Amino acid sequence: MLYNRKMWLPKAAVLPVLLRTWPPAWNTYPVFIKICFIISMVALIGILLAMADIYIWRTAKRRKDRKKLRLSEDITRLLMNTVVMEPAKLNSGMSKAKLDTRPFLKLGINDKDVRSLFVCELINYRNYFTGAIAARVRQLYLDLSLDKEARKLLYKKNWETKSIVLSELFKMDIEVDNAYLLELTHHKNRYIRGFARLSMIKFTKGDPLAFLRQITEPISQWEEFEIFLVFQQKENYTLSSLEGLIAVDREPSVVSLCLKLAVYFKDLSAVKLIMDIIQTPDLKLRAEAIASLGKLEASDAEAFLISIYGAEPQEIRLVILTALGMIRSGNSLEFLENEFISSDDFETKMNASDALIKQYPLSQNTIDKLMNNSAALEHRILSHSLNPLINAL
Amino acid sequence: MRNFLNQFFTSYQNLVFIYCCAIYTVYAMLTFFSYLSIIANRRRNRIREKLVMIQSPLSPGISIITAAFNEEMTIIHNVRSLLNMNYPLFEVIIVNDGSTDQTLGKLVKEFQLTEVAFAYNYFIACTEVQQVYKSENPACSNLIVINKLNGGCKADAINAGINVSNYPYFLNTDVDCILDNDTLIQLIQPFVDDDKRVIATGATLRMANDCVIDSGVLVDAKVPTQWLPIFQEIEYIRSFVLGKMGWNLVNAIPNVSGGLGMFDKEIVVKAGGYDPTSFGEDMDMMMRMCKYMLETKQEYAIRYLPQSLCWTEGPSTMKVFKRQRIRWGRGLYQIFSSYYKLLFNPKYKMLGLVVLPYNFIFEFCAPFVECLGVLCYIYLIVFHLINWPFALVLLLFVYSFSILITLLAILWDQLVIRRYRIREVLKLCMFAFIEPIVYHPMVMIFALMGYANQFRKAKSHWGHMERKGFTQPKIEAIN
Repeated sequence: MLYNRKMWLPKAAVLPVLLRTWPPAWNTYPVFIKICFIISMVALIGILLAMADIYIWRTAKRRKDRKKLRLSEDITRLLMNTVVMEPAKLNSGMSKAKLDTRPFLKLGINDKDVRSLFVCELINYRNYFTGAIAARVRQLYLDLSLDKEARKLLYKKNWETKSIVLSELFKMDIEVDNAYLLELTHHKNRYIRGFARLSMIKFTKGDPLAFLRQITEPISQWEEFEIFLVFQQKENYTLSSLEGLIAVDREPSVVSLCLKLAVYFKDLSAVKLIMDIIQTPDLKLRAEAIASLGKLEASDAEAFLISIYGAEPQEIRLVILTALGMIRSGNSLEFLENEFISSDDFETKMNASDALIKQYPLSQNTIDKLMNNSAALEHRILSHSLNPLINAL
Repeated sequence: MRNFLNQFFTSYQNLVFIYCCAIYTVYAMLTFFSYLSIIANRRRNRIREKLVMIQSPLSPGISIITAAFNEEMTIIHNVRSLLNMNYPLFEVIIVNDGSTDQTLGKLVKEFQLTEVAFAYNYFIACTEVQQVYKSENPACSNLIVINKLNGGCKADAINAGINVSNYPYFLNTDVDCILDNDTLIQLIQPFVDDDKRVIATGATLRMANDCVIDSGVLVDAKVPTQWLPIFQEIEYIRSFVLGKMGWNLVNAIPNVSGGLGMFDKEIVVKAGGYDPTSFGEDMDMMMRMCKYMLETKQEYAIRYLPQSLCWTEGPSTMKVFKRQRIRWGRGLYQIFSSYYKLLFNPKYKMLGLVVLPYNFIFEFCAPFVECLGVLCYIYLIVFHLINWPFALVLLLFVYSFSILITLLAILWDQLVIRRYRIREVLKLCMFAFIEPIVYHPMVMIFALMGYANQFRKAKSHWGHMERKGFTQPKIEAIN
């Protein structure tokens, strides 16, 4: 409802009157009419400009798009011929041999737009190929001296340019001056800060976790995903001690990331640290810590989890039940059975049932007993947990 | 009496003028804000790579929940299209809301569904769920079909779907909507990349009436050819690209469309789920979610994306269009009768001081103001009290500004995506000139009829949208 309309006027009758009285009467008109008239004129000019802009802009864009498409095809063809389809060089370990850059220079990569499109294609190739091909794409980037220009752009004031260039260098595996990078990790712009952190973690010579210790403000989930991917893609990396990182006084988002890393790298030495932070007043973090114990299959923590169960709020209890199921030691069967039978809460029954089923075949006798003795809802819950189709996601 | 009327209409003229200036000031502001929002979105998209969401094992799971009522014609294609979404972790929940045709039968056959002993819990109230089906085909293991008694509305069916969903976020869409393949990646991004807790996200909806659709996938986007859907297309562009994107900048989005919206399940459940008695269930849900967040003193955000991610078939006959708009009118009336205590209430911050007052003054009251304005004009003309030059200037002011706003919305839309051919964009621009004269009065009248129906508590049924189906791509014969 963008309009407020209040009139329809017979134009034929009105126009002559207007023409007769206008413009000599202008000075006699009230201010609001004058303002309305001026705004109307501005709006009419705006209408013409908007329409012209749509037409001109679209026409120019269409031309640009066509040019871009042709260029993109040329780039793809060249990359396929030079980088991907040279199995002889790839197989003979010549992936680091200097590439013929002349055809690429003919594309006009000195032009800003062409360069941007070309780098974008290179990054795509590095995303979709690994090993020798990815290495040759990087080699090509270096041979064309694109890194030098990127390094220059890195010192520009514009935050967008800075973050795009940081991301480009990061994806091309090109290290940036460490001191400057460290400075950027405290930049006020979140994108620059984020990419600088990623680069620090990726290229740091020492322990990449050390850098996480410096983070004092919350990191977004997106950053968490990116940092996790960097750790995941680090070759031959073994996680060092998470002591001091999985701690109550640490920023919760950093602790959360470390919990995920501990699970991914199956770091059983972190179990003790995780158990220590379960006292945290942050319920979300507490739930995450308990879930991590489950994923780590930390049987040492089983008795501890059962001991705290009674004093925990409902949402944490549910997480404990799930964690016990994942630990799969068979030591918590009696506890889970009791919870299943005694609780009146649907979700508690469901989680206890799921936890029992996860411990199969250790829990076979318990499940059989419960199936034989249960009726109505309890029987349905057990059947639900036992059904492989329901749990197949 | 005559004197009184003269005085009343003279004063009313001044009131309307102030009203008009106020609304246009807000629109000018929104136009500027939406431009800033669109630019910010473009920049973010240039920096944030969607591959991260696809590669990351930490990406949160999403449940796509959609209700189907007598959709046998299109259900298979649409479900296939939903199952092919580009996202690493999601499930598709189809709620068959008591269809009387072959909707369920076709689903069972096509996706090799089998009834499972599902322990269904009514966390949120809904009508009785009769069966839950899962596919025996491993390729469709993320498909869940619920068969329930007809609840008479989409809200009830979505509640039934929420009860079985496994993931922390859910996408609420209509089964006949055609979604872009990257919808999930795009809509989840604000949830994981915002400083505040995002409780809902939405994106632009478009008319699918004349688009070329193949097996539930949009092949070619086209501007509708019939006049009613064209006007709706213009209205959608203005409302989403300009209105919602403008409010997005100041975190004051009033509503996430029922056609396409992603929600934080935890907040939806805590706010009590969708209200099946509401005619504007989407706005009602948003109101309750915002109210819950404010009452529990949690900071929140609702985000909108300018990208067109969903194409829906708009009413092309006056009968269906009228029914839809009357229902929307009733929904708006219900919102203000339910949440009037929040209006101008500083306790509810932006919601109480900006979102609701704006919607009350410029959305809810607009049909009254405009219709009374027309009566006022007729009166002034009949009694020769009109100052024609002034009237013409005012008319020009209202008309030109309205057109300018619409054209800027189309221009902003072109900045986001260029799906239409230039000829079609110009066609939209041309229709913008007649929209205020032909389409807008209808919308106002139907809104008033909706208010009247709701005031009288008239009985109403939701009605089933008669689908014409989509244009299939031409297959050229191979010689």
